Amino acid sequence: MRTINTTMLLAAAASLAACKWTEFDDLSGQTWVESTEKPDVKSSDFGVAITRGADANDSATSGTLAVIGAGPGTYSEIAYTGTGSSSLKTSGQVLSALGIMTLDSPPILLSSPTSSEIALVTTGDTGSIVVAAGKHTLEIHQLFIGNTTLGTGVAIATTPDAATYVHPPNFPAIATAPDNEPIVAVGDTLLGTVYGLPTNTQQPACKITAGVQVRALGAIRNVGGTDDVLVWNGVDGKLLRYAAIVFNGCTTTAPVTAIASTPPADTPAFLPGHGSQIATIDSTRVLLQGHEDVTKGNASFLQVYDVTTLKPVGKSVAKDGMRSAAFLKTDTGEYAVVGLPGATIDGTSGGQVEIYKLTTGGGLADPAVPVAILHDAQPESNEVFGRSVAVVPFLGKSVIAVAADNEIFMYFRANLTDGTPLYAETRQGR
Amino acid sequence: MRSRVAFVVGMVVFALATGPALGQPAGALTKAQSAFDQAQLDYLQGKYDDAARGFVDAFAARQFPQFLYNAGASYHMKGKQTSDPEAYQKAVDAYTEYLKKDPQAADKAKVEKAIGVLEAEIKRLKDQPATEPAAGTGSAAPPPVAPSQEVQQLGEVKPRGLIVIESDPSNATIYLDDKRKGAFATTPWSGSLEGDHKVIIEKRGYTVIEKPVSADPSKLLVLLASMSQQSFLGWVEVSSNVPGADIFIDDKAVGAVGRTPLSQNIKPGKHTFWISADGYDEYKQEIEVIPNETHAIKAQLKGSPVGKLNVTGIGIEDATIIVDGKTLCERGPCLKSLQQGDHTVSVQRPGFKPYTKQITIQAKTETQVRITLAPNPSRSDAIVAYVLAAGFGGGGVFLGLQANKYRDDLKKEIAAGHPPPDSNDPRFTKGKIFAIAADATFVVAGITALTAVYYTFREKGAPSAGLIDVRALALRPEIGPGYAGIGMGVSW
Repeated sequence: MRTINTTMLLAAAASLAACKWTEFDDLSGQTWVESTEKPDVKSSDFGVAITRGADANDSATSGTLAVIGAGPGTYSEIAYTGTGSSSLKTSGQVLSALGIMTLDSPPILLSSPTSSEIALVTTGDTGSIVVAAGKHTLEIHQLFIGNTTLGTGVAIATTPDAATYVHPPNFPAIATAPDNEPIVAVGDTLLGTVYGLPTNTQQPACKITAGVQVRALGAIRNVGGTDDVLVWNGVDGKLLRYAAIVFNGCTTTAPVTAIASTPPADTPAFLPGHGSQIATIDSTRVLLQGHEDVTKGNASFLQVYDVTTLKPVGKSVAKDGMRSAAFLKTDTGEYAVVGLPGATIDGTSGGQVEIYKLTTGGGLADPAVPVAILHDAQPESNEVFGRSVAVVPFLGKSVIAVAADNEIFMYFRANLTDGTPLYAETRQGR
Repeated sequence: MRSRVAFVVGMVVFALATGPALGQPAGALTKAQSAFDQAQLDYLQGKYDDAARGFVDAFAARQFPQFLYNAGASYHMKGKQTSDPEAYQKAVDAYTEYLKKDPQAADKAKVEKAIGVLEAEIKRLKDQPATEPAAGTGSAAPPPVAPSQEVQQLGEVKPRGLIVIESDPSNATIYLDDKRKGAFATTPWSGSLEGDHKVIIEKRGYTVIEKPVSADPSKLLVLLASMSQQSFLGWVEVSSNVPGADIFIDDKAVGAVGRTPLSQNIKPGKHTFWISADGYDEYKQEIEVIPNETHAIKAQLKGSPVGKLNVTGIGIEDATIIVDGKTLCERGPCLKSLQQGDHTVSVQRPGFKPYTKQITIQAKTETQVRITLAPNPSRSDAIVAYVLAAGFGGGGVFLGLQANKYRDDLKKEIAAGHPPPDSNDPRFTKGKIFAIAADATFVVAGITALTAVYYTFREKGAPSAGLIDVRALALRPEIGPGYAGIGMGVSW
């Protein structure tokens, strides 16, 4: 009898504690965040830079994400189905074939505001600057040979400082200029890239006024359809605006003339380092996310600027650790998405993403504190969660993508800290 | 023939002259015993005529037929010694008279054969021509003719001893050794016995007398019981439809006091009687015994055919025998009656494997089961298995609880979204691993537990065994003084 009782007790305990492991599969399907770990690509450091992928603007049913891997450099595109599951659309294109042997840190990854094109701007293997662009597959778009004196004595270095897509006025030497083309900044020089440059035509290059150190570039669309170029000066921290015409004017034989910023910029408090960003919000506002060079410090800065007055709007955030930023517009408002890859979560330096609310048509809301914080629910040390952030179109909505060490997080649904939706479920069938 | 008539007339006259034996028990019996003893002495000295006359004298005193046989035996020996037809004739007459007095004599056939042989010998001797004495021998008579071969084959004939049991008053019941054997005879009784016995003489209203006797084949032993009257006793007569049933009075623990039928004195007062026989329901009756009154108990025993179960074996004295779930014997060996039919017999001994067998008991048979109990094997393997099962079970519970904790945490965090776990959150994998491990551990625990249960109840080593042998029980009629019935015996 004692034996039977013991057996029954064991059976009862087992039935109470027995588990259906498929519950975890079900729960995994209920998460708001799709995590994609490093696929079978050659890069050992997957996700050093991300941006929205090709076709993202064209598709109303899914989204794509462009991902750069390092060691060696690769280009990948992750495609997301309407239900949120992911697959590789471009599987680890090896960039060494394009002469890109060692990626800059961070590499400059751009997405065209008007087309599906993606562009990578980085240092090439022979002392050159490579602009590789394309849809799904990158190709050599422009190659700037280093240590070359262009035009009237404009000498260029081999490492790009900043880049952005601009839509310049038609270049007179060609019949039809492309819609948007990346331009690259090196020191105080802007280098233009144009498809189909006539043979033997010298690369367009303009030297900006001496004393300007370009650390971030942006573009603002003018009424006429052309763009002005925004420069965040690493010398005095001022935001400068140049008519893109100067880019065209600095060609061939004409000496490069320094162009004063107009109107004069206000005086921001932060001197940006390499990798600082100018994210376009609309035709009148840009989001400036600056940070010191890694070798100099960890200070960082966040501020919305009015590009018409070149004055800051709203509150600013000055704190350590902000390394990437993106602008997010949802049904609930406008937000600045900022990555802090070195942030500490519950004692673990796993990194996090802070989301700041913008006032309608204005800058950072007062107080300028995060309205939401994203981080890995199980952070790991040196995960560098948020080392690159992007806002990706998905089924007609915008969702946040966050890069971490060899892992990409796609937030199809997010809440604010107060529990209200940042944006509701964006996937189908949920 | 003339001498034969004279012998019979002589004996009758002598008997009439001495009167009936019972009429003068004391003097006649003493006279008979005295004559018997002298006759025995004469016989041993070869004085066969004197011996024969002595036995006739004894018969005249007390007419015990055995005396006539002894007289015949004395003449028989004389005739054999002298080849005297007249002696043989007297022997034939005495034997004939003996059988006439005791027609149911146990040796009737033997005596009749002797009579026939002697009559033929008489004729042979008479038909033989007379032989003149040889001249010059000086001898007066010729040597006797040798007895015939038939006479020789009869062997030497000896007088028999006699036991006489009488009581005053007569007609008392005689028991030998144990009343449970039943009544032996009633007084007066005479006859032969062998060996030592205890004679119990009982009569209603009289004191019970018990005396030892040692039978001597050469003597006349007289046991005279003078019974004193006890008017305060009651009398009980117990009978049953099953002869030979055990009778218990007042206290079963003292054992059976006798067997049916039984009559005896009993003290006045309330008494309880149990009458039982194997295979029958016990009969119980209470009676109030009144002095000088007879109380009859007639037991009607009800039952069915039975057989015997006999359980034996080494170490059986420490084993309990259980039949059909009820203890039949606290300790073996166990010999009990069981109703015919199927019975489940189980033999249990601490530290040994039980033996259980379905056995069919047949009526009138003895089923003997010789048990060899095997010792219980060690159950250490089962204990180890239980410990392992408990360990696996405990581990499974722990793992299951861990899995449930992961599940609950994930559910909670997914619902809150602050922060939302991602699809590759390691807790999904960990939780699944814990869940699978828990279930696997439970399976292992279950298998181990089942193994432990199996180890607990499995037959390890040789089982206890029993050798069954069925023997026939023969029912045979039994007839005793005062009863008749059926007895049971074993044969194989």
